[in-house]
Amino acid sequence: MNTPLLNIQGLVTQFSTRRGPVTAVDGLDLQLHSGQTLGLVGESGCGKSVAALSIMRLLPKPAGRVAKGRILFEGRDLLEVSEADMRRVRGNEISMIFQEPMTSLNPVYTVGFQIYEALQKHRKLSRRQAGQEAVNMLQLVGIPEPAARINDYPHQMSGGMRQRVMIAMALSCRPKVMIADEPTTALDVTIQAQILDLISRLKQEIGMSVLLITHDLGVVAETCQQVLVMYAGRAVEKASAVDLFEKPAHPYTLGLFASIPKVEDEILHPISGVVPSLYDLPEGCAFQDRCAYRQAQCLKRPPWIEISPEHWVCCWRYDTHHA
Amino acid sequence: MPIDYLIRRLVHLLIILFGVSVLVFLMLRMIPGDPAQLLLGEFANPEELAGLRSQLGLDKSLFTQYWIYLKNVLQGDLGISIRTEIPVAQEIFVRLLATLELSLAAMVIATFLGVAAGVISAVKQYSIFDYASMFLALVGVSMPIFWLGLMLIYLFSVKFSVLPMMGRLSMGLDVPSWSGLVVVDSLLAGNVPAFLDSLKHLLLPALTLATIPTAIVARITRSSMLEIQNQDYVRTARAKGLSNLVVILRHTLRNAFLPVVTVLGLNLGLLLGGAVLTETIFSWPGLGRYVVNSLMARDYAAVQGCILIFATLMVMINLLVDFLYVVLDPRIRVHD
Repeated sequence: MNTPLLNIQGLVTQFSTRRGPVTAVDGLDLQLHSGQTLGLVGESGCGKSVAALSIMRLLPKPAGRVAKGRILFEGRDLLEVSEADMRRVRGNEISMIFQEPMTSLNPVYTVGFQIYEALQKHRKLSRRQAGQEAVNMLQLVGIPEPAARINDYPHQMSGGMRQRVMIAMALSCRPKVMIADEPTTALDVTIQAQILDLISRLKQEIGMSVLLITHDLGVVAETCQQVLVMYAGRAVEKASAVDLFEKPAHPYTLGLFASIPKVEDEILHPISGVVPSLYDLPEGCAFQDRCAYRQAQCLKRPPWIEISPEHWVCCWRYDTHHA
Repeated sequence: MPIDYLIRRLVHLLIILFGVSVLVFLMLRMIPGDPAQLLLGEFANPEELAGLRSQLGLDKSLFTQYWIYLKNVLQGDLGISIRTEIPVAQEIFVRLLATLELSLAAMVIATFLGVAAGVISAVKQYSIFDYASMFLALVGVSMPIFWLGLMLIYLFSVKFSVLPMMGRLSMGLDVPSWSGLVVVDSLLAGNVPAFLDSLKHLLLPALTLATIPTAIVARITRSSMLEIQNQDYVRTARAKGLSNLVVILRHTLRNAFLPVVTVLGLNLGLLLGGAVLTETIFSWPGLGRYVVNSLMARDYAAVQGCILIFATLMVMINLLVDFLYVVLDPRIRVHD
């Protein structure tokens, strides 16, 4: 395969806390190719959002820092570039939308101004052009009467509308990568579908790649070509969406699928146990305490095993050499 | 801001002023001390006292006295000072302008210095600057004003003789009285020496008066900034690739400003009415000193006039603060 647009190698992100350093992302490898949508899946606190913030270099300071690894974007390591260069990347080449549309827009500026701001910063448009472009962006994300709504303040809009504005803002400079951190979690189901459709459509139109962070496998099925499953800061399985849905392999992924509520089944099937605290992860596989297939080897860190072409699992269960 | 809202607020102002006038009128007459006695001295004979009382209208019933007072006030007549025998309105006007000059200067200092210190402290939280400025702020609010004023006089006027210790303008300099604010008038007249001289006179008292508000504004700005810094929309602003300065000033400070405006308004009100100590130390011919002296002499008309003016100013400042809220935060709208 050709060189990935975004290539994360061995990313380790830590937070310093009163109880000592915590590793929120532990050795993440991730490749996002041009035009692709990659789903980053896992439950709350597994490090998805921290990984995204690491890419943008927007980790909360001074607690969070990238301890190791490389984040190659078009060949350059974003962890090495100057802050000024990074600002030219943010919002311009890589943009990001967040989970909470209700709080992610500044309440004291009009939505038009907030779109306009990015345009003026990166594309050096005149006032007039940037204003016109902001209207075009609102039109693009399907806001009716964009020329009038441009002067609205965020509180005058619904959650779905605001997320559309966020998307308009993120896409205004035609980025190569958009990171969407749980873009539909805070929205109700009908709006969710609209927003996902919108993202997919705009991805085609603009020709960008999307890193979609979600805990919702339904969202993944609808939008992603590739999927990476994370658990407790580590990647545990990566595959094409088709492979993952047809032949999920990692016990955690299996658990995730089993726990999706089904209409014909009155009982819910949660994954037993709880997510281990990042302060004291067990030696070896982080999932071992909740795993039905646990074996002696699980006390050692499992290797990556390719169980079918481009379908990788990080689990001893598939280790044919030692079994 | 709709006109009917403004009208409603003005009606409120009238009601407040009526209440204040009644309260002040009654309270003044409840405190011991007879104006006639104070004017004529300890050894005045009863006939003279009675004569003066009837001349001042003090022999009438309280209700009648208030009624006369109210009728006069409504015609713009605040009465005549029994100490100076000059119309109270005239006396207050001149002194109010002196106080206004001092308070506004102090507010300018407090706003710029306080906000700047607060912003830097918040952005560089837990840095040396943060600790130092917050320590200074604590010292600032705890320091007795009269002591600070005297120390400043000692240091800058006595020891180094770089700044004058009293008054508004040096002898021999003359400035036309257009606005009543010497600094502004000298500038308007193009009189540079007088302008610089008046600034020098203003500096020490304004610094003294500004100390407490500066400290309060710095602390409020810091805590408000710290709260806003963690908001999602600040992260959004960073994710757009905006520069640090734009993120701090445009996306954080603007939102953090509401509590600061409240505190600034409250402090301006306090400064206008409470600059007594500073005015006394620096012999500043302001309203604060005038009220205290009038009170000592039981100069009813003067005290009543001053309190009415204070109340009016306070209500106006509140109105201004409410107006600024609406300007600063579009979510705040006037509700019927």
